[in-house]
Amino acid sequence: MKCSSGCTAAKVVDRYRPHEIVALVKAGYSEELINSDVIWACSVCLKCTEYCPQRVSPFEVVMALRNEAVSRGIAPPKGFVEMAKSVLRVGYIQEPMYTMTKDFEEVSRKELGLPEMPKPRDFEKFRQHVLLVGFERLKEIAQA
Amino acid sequence: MRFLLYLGCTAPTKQYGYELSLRSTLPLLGVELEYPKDMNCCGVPMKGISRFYPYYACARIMAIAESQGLDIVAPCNGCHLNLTETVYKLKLNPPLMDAVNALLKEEGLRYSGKAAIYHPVEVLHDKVGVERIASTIKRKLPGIPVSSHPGCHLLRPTEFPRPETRNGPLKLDRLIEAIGLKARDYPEKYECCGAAMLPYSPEAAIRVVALRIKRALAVGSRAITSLCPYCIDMLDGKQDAAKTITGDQSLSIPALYYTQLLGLALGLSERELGINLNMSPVEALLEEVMA
Repeated sequence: MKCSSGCTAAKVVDRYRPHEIVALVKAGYSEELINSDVIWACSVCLKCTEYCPQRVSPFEVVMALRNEAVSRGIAPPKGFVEMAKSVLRVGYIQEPMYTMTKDFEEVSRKELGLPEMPKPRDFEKFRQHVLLVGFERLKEIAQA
Repeated sequence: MRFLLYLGCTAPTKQYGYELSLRSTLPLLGVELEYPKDMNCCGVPMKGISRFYPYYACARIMAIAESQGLDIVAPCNGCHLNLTETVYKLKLNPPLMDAVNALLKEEGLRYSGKAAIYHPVEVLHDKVGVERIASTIKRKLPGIPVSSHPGCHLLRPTEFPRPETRNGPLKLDRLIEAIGLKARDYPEKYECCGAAMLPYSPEAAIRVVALRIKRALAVGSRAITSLCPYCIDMLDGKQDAAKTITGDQSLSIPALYYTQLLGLALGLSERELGINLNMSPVEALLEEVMA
């Protein structure tokens, strides 16, 4: 299987095989996949999409399964929840962090002379729109 | 040449060396960068949460560029892919474009697809050109073998145009050679850095990094370079973790942004290029490069 032989995630996660995921969906096992964390292993490298001789995109199948899981209120791995919460809070998946120089000096954007990160101008409107385009259930998941 | 600088999330929240080196090198090559006042995330890591969100988020970014009459430079591979994909998909799907514009209208914005999207590899290679780079640099760097790691989204998918292709020399390799370094192929050149696997399994993601570094060392590369904040975050920032997880203490190689190497050739200081923020062992390479 070209998709699985090229797959980045398959090289380091034994149970992740894009061709198996596509076969399981075709055989009617979407429910099981939606309830499994295996769909969150994809590294988004898009090699499967490129290599499939049948022009299936296992990547798009996996993204559809992830979207379906979220829309049913099934929590994704914590990192994804945190990134989504951050988008709803500040408009980005994360906020500027302190970083360490080689001499163990902690520096911020400001200390490096970098300007403040621009946020969405009408933030409340932006937030409403993000919720509208698919984050509504995520908000519930995050609060649970 | 003036562009709207759309940095995305990773570069301006932690990969400051990329932002610093972009801001300090590009103007020396006649590229002006305009920093926006209104901006948001492109949504690439959020595709699994909502496949629709990135269309809204990217159309919003491009509508802002349009309102300022500027084209965009997007230094993150993920952002560049997402923006390009949005233009492509919205053109094919007028109802989707109308739906996105209905939301943007409430924010006083309108997307039409006028703004062009460039990655720094295109700005440097296609707009500035290797000849101008070679004639502008103050010092030619020594011919040290360096492996380029363009990153997935500069190459894939091929459904719509990407800045780089596997079917020919990389622009990034030409840029490496333009400043005197030698581009050294390595077997993992077109592979993924593993960054998007971090939320699922940090260990699996770091094993991906270990594979890359091992192969770069095996072909005698003295450094890895990229123009993607995810790739350098992984290849530069996760070497200690790769050593711990694999037990292989040899997994150690300088990893820098191409703009940092370019900056050294342009005579800029380590601080101006944020090289003091790199986590990988860059000291010996720097000494050799600056000698």
